[in-house]
Amino acid sequence: MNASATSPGLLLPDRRKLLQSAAAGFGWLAFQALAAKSAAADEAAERSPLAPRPPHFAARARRVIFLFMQGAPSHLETFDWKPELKARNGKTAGGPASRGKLLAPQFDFQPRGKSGLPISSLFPELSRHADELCLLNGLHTSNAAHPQATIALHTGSVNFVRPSLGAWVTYGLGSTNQNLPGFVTLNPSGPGGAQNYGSSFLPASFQGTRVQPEAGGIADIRTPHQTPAAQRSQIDLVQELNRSLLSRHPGNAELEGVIQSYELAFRMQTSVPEVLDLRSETQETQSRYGIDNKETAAFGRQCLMARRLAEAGVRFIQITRGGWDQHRDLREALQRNCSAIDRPIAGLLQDLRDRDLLKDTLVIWGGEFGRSPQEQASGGDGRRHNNAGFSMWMAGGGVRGGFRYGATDELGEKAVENRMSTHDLHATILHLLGLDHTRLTYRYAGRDFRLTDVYGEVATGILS
Amino acid sequence: MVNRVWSHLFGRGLVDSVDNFGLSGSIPEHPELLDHLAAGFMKDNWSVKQLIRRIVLSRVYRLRSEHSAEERKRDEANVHFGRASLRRLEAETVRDSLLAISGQLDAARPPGAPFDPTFTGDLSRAGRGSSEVQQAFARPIRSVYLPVFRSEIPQMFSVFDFAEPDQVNGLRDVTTVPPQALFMLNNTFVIDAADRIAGELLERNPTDQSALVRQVWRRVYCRTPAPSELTTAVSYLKNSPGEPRKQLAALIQAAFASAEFRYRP
Repeated sequence: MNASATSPGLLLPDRRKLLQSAAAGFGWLAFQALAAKSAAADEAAERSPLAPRPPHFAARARRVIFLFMQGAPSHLETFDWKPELKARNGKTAGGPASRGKLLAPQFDFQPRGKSGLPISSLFPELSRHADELCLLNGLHTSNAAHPQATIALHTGSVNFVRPSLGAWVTYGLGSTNQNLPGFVTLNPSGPGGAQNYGSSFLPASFQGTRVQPEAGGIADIRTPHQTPAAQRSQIDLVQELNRSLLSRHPGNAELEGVIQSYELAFRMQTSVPEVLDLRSETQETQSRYGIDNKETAAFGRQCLMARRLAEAGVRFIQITRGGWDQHRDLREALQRNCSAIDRPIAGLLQDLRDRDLLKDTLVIWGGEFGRSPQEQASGGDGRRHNNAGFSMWMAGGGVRGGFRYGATDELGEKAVENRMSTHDLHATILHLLGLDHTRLTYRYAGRDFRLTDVYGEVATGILS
Repeated sequence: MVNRVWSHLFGRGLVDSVDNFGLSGSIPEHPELLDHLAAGFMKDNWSVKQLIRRIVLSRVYRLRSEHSAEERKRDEANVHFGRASLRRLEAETVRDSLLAISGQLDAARPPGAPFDPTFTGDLSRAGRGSSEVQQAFARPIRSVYLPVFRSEIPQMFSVFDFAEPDQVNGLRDVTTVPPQALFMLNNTFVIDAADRIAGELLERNPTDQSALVRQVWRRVYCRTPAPSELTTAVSYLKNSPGEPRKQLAALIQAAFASAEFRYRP
């Protein structure tokens, strides 16, 4: 590559020659656009925007699997053991804001593993991995409504459209497989829509690709009407037309994104069905994820796909499971939800460990907020929203296993010790990936933006 | 309202954050213009049609999008509306255009309810491929007359950034992802539209390939092809596999798939 070609003025005259000689063609150009705009990207003159980039410092985790539980699962029935809440069942507590009687945890907690981590009876299988889990009990978030809190968890912002966590991670680190998207989200649902996996002002290559396995993975992945060779020459024509439009609008990042999307789409037609095809997995592996059981099969398949995607080099994988908004029907719905995910998640952790992937894969579990210690209305079978205190957990990827970090008050209402806001959570995730959240910036609208805005403190206590 | 109309016509509002005029929103780039248009809107008895007319008759609306490197350097993001910005067609427009160009579109407003009013099931559960919902989407009417089911956004719409019906959304996401490319390459809706046009064009003119290419360009891009494009397209036609209709359909599909079809200059 001619060094002088990096100057935009000199690039244009022999654009075609350059494109022909560069293996990744327009991907490289898109990267140039990116490099010109971004302070963080000037460290490596890679070819593709998705090419792997070195982290800021030694990374503990190389990839992320985020198990998002949409609807706000109750921390009080799952991972935040509050004996005092049990003792004060039926009493009232707090001021007028905390209306309703206290409701004891509806499921038993037991110390699990060597570490004795208290986990409820809803997770018998996952409990076997207690010594891998790092419970984060001191989380809090700024908004108690699902849409805002969901968007905040994904993007760090309640009221603006901002790049999502996965997009920032992929922007920071690229991806190690150029034939798959760097950021994949399986069955996204719930409030926020595309904003939760969008790239906002970051280049479009970093946004999450939505994959719906029941519908064949990605829609229209099969070509019904022509041979691969015929389609290739058709795409060549499309790209020639696209380049001609781009030459009339030089530097248009969207058009560069279109060009790149066709190359990726063509390659995805072989790579996606391959990676989502679970038939090559042994019976034993499938049953480890609960795929042989009706109750756990759906989530199990997604967990197994997540492992396959992780293995294939995808940087950020998200699985979404909705239905955690237990204003009522707390006992039954929680039991149903947890049974559906317990075995698959345990299988995922075990499988990752067996393949030596757990050490550098960060697994994150959690929802947008938690639930109130008080019951919702009468009947005692539901809880209200609670954004002041809730729990998530992490495993693998350089976090301390068998460890409880942070705490809520004795009733589980407010985070009081080692509190972690959404920004702190994001800063910590980036830190585990070797990225300094204050240095991972993107220049847009005249200033440098960060995932964590001007906030965020790394929870160094959870590092192994 | 004025800002929203402006945003629809230009792809970006005078106030960037169309849903947020508060302290945390963006500052208007041309506050005087926004006030002027707002005052005119009131004076015109709140007529949206007059407002649109006023804007589209302006010089700024008629500016072209092509520009020099120097112009770009001066205002890279086109904050000052010194030229037109390339704008993506929205999902509905992509669908309507494909239907219209292939001669399938029924432009008339369909009478009655958009969805069988005698349907008595639970619509939220009827979604996911139920025949009632599929039928409602399959009619070749304009997208604006299609029903919107929160539980069942047609795949084509969700691929092309249709707004989440659950939320207030003054400005849709604009994403560029491989699924959009896959839709244009592999979806039967596109393949079928291309095939219909190929059949129609060949019936009228079975032999002259240059004339066929010109017709394709006029239909899909509303312009004549540049000489180099003409050469490329004719040679593509010659080298494509299959009978003439299949070859021509492949060319038309390529034109649909190209960025120019999806962008308003």
